[in-house]
Amino acid sequence: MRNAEPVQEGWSLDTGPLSRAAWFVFLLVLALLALFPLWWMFTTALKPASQIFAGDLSLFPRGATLDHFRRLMGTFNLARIMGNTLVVAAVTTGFQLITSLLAAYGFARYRFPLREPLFYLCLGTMFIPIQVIMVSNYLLVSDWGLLNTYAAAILPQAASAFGVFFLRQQLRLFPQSLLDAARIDGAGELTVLFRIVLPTIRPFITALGILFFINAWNQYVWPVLVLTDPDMMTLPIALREFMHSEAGHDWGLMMAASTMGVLPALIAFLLAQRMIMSTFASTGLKG
Amino acid sequence: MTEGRARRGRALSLGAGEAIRGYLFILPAVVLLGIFVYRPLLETLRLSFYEWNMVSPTQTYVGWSNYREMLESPGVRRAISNTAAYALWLGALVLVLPTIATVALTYMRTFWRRAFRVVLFLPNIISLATAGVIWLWIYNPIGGFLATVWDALGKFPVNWLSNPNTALGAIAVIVAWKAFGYNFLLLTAGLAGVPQEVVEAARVDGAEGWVLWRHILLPMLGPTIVFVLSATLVMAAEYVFTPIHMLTEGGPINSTTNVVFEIWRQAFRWFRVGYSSAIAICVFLLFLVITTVQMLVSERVVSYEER
Repeated sequence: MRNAEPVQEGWSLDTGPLSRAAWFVFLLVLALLALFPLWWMFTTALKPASQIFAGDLSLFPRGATLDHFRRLMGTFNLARIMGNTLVVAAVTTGFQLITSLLAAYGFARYRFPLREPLFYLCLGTMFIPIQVIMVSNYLLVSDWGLLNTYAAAILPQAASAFGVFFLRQQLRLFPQSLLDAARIDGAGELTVLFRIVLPTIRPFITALGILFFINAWNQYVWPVLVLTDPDMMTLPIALREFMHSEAGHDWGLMMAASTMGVLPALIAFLLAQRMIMSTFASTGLKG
Repeated sequence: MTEGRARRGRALSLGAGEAIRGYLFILPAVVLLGIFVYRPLLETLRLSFYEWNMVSPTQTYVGWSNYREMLESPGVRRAISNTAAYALWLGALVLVLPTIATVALTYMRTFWRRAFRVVLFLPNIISLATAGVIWLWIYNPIGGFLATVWDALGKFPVNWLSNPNTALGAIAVIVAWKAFGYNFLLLTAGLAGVPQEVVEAARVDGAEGWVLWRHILLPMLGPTIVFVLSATLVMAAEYVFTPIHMLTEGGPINSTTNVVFEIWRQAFRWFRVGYSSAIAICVFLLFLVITTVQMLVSERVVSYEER
């Protein structure tokens, strides 16, 4: 039907060359501040150990090496940790997309008692900080014997109020006549949803999926409680574990580990930068 | 299409089964949110009236005593004043600064406008945990970037995260680095939503420069700014949790703890589940107030945070 809208470009104002130059320098400084920590992480990860502790501020590594990454494989079970993070992030994303799509369709297209209150109850969950409910959820997951399982990390996040809200906005716009036509042809409810409606909102699903994935890949607060076994840790949790281990002051190693944490999100961002920014922007928009 | 528009949002008549089908569609999400958000919220409320160490089979009912203790506790008072300090830091770094940057961006040509927006947004996709480790290295007193520069300037060395006078600011900077781009994106998108005609009309009437901003553009950006303000308050309470948990655990001498971190510390460090729950309920009420005020002021209803 439509593509995810790019962030509006906006209009511009004119000003004298001097003040334009001043504003430019101001933005340039901010941009350098934004980029510097990432650059410092990459270059530290690539610098030979001898250059790291010499109080050496050179912005480029001399004789770049993958040594730290190689040691990361050896010292820590990096493959396992990356695998854990990928499984947790991918399955969480999948669950969130499915439950959001179904609920959004129900809320947008069916009439039933208590529809509005239930919708606002869903929406309300967005404003409850995870730390308020984490102790009780921890006790529940622990009672179920799920500590240190993927299920423990995934289940409490399997539904997303934001996803329900975001997709409901899109589904409300779907032309009723197309739905009715499909039903007259005898299509079942799920067929209508997955064969007729879904293809038209695919760009929004993709954008939402990327947003979910980045957030699941990055999450810390909940998994740090339930994934305490080094074999089950996701990358952000493992980073903390590395930090408190003997390797905590081996900065080449630490920055190599951080780089592994940043790369997937960074690649996703560079591939779909416009889509990601427009989805993020829409998170702050009017309902 | 006209037909579709006219009826959009209204449910169709599918007969008696419609309600049942509707419930089936929303069932997975509603059940999951019920079990993992509303159930624990009520359970936390209940636990806040008990004393319990998480492992003992008995929970002792203590009435309001957890809440009373909270009001008298210097630790909680410190957590509250730190939360306010975080809010001030973040207010300056991710509310005022991006607003100024938004003004600056309108004076750039299209290429630079796009470039700055992408570059300034970039840190937002990085996890707070990774950001914490990267900054730990920058702050590191031995060989860290900041320490080396500081040393070259001939200043007395500072261990930013271990000094009670600087640790809170150091944590706030980490969160600000990540969060800046999100707020900036919202502000620029909000400003782009101000119609070009309004700007033109104001300029025809002679509004230029500061006058244009002060009387036309910033007021029109008002609802976005209110939304970003509430997002900033949420960050001051919630986002700082991750770097605190990773890097300082509230120390040195309670200088970096905040109200949200106290929930974790009371429960998982000192196993005082009831006391932790009482703090959690107060944090919930605080968020409820912030959200309600923000919605009343700006009629915006959505935000989405990484957790």
